[in-house]
Amino acid sequence: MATSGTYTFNPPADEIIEEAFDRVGIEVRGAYQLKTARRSLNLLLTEWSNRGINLWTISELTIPTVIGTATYTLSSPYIDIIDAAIRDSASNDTELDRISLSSYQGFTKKTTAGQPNSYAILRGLTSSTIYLWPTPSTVQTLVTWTFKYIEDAGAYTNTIAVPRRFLPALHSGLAYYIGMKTPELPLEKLAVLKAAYMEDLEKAIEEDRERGSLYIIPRLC
Amino acid sequence: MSYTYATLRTEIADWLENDSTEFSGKLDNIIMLGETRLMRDLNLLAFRKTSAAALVAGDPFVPKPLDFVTPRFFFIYGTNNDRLSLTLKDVSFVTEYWNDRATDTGTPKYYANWDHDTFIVCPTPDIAYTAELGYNVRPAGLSAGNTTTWLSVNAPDALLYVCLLEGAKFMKEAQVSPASIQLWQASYGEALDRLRGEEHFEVNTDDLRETTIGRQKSPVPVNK
Repeated sequence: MATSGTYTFNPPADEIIEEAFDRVGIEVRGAYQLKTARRSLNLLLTEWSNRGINLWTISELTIPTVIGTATYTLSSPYIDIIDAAIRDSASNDTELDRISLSSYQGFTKKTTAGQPNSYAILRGLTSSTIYLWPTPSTVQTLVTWTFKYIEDAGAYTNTIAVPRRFLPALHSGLAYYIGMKTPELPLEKLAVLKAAYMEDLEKAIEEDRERGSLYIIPRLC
Repeated sequence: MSYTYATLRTEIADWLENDSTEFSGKLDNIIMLGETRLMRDLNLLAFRKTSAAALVAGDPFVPKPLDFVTPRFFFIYGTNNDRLSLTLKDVSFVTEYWNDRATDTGTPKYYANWDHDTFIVCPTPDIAYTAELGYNVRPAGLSAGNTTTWLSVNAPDALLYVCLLEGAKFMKEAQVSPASIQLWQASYGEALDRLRGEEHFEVNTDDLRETTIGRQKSPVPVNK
């Protein structure tokens, strides 16, 4: 017996929407069903971003520092910084400590010049502001590992920017969202859809984890 | 037993006990009305047809066959002549999915009834495609030039009863008793059920397997 030999399953948005409606027990026929499902799909993806770090959304972002400038902008779609360092001209990185905004506010003199050793972030409406302290005294590179929002669904012909391991949760999550706005759906069925979504998402999150070993060493003194 | 155009005309006049010239002049119309009702009440293999269609590159509109009544399937031939099935949607869906049908093209995936004579497919075909269209037709009815039909040969009971009902409408209540109309209505319903049963066995069972194949379609409601 032959097998397909392919590993390319990645349905476009319209087929994800059809599958979700099928699970609810409704056939997609009209434009509004497409529109409302795409809206739900975008909300679902945003919910996943809110849940925390999705490994596939992590990327390195470098920002050149400017002498005497303490603030730098982290624009959308970047949500937050996981780790940051200052890279000198010899490509040596010095890790920065993340401090709270109130700690940053506690510094007496924000314009103190020197080698930055800490940073704080102000999360804004459409972008975030990074505060370095001390203020850079030389031109170096702020190297950050950031995570960002998952891409919008966009056109119905697009595939969704999630890895294959999250496709079951994407389908069951959308089915649950559609079920929530289907008044005639029995509550028992809605509960089944929610349970299926939670189970699929839990499995995907469990799979989507850092596999490097974590060493915890007690400090004995 | 089966009917021809002539024998059915005679039967209707005999059953309704009406040999007037006026009634005789309306018999063709009565038969046509009965056949139309019967074909709308049934979805039989005999009313199915498959024909080829041509999709033109850059043109999302596809003319329907002249004898088209309702769609059953729409395939296009892709590369290597593999058939790709198109899914039936509403026009609004097609427009929302593929909103720039004038310039954007691709391999068609959906189709909809644009109007009575035309389908719209989306994406707009990127190349010319040959299509295979399955649909239900309304076959030509009985006439002096078409003396037998599938219905007159295979469903003479249903055809007679529906024609009696249509004939009774023409004759008005004073000439036909309500009891007779009730009897023919019931007989028509029974004949429809038998036809559907026969169709069901033809489509879904054989000697090896008596269970239903796939999902049974909802019965078409009888207009009583």
